[in-house]
Amino acid sequence: MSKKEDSHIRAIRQNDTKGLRQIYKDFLPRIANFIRKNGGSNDDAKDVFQEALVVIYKKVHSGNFQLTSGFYTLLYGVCRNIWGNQLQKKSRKEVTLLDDYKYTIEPGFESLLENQEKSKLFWDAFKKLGKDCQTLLQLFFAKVKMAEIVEKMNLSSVSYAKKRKFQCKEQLIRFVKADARYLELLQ
Amino acid sequence: MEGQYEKIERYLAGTLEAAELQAFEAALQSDPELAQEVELHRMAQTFLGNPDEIDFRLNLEDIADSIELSDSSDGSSGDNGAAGGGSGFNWLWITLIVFALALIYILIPKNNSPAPPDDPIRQDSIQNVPDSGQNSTLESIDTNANLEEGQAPTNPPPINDPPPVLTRDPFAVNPRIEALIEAARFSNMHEFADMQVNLIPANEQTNLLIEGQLLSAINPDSVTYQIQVFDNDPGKYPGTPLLQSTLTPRLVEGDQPQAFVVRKAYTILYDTLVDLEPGVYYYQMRLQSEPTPLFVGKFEKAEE
Repeated sequence: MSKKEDSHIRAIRQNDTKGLRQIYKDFLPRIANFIRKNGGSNDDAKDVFQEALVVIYKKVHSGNFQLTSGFYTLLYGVCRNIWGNQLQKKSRKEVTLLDDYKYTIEPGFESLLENQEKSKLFWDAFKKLGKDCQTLLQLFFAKVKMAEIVEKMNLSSVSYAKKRKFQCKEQLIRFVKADARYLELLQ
Repeated sequence: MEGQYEKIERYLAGTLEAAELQAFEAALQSDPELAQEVELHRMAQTFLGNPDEIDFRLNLEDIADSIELSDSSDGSSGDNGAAGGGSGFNWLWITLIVFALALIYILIPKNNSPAPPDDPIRQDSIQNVPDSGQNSTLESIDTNANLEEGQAPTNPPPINDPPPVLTRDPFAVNPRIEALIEAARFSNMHEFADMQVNLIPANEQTNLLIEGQLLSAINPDSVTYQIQVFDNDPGKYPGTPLLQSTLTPRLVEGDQPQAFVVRKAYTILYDTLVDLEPGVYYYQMRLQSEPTPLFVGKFEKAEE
């Protein structure tokens, strides 16, 4: 593994902004080129790129990650898989991607890729919430005690915080249920 | 619904008592909707339950927002700091230059008013002014009096200027409502606290969320609370709200705030989709039967 590839994985592991920005600079154009050649837009490319980095992040933090190929090979494979799945869902028949290469996905990524669509669905719903709801739910899902949430968010009481949490979660669930992808995932 | 959420959360946390757990699991077997709901809550916990991962996603969003992608088919990245490559013909820059030129063209002031017709009186004056200069009165008021032959007369100023069109600055404050906000507390019987406003883009519209807490000594079932939203047009307050709706306070169970007047705590939520232009807006809560506001707040939608 080259020193530069070590730095990409390290940037992902440490959520290092400078390193992540370098990853975007180094690889997003090529991924975008691939996505555009296969029926997507620049926005699709950014979306897929982000999701791929999240998948790699989860794998890196799972405790049993070892990069057996180049970083770009891994990243390309994950992006290709994500985009291929999206195209497959739209077209309802087998999709062939225009590739210069044949990539196989790194072992151990299968289950992460399976869950990637669900993860994106909840993330997109979460982004639609107001900032306070996002903060409150982030703390709640991280299992922070209500009394601590009240203090961190400067709320008036635990009961009020519970009420707000319920309202925010209700909104989140409503957004998820209203998303067309939710119905597809149910089937 | 809140009770159901609590039970689901306790079930997922493994904190239901034995009898409760047995009953809940039996309900899951017989009620597919409940089972689906539980699965939704489980997925929410799974996919949003890692704060470090959320921070990672938020960081990626910020980075992605700051990067422009060109449509160049050249997949190589350049050294210009932005993803998209530095070599080859850059259509993004061409588009930006064309847009800038169009903007300059639009912003350059043009004289669109038609040239005023030749003033017959003034033309007469020009012709009849004697060379001797005896008609000094005319000379003094006629700017064209000393024109030399062949010299074009200057256009006299138009007589009837149209009045300037006054446009309201959408970000200007409404002093009357600002004074109400300064007053802060309107009623001991109904107090609104922790009010928050969120504006969430929803396709072409805006999802306006106004939420907070109501401390009231009066049973909300016996009165009707109303929320009104105004823009900053002084002429529209208080008679012409932009939005208006009744509010349904929800009782907060459990600890109640102590106060001289015995009050209960309620949550309030106003959630609507609206076409909202950038500007300053005000909202107020009042009893439907009373004109005096119980609370006045302000929010701003920024320019995009």
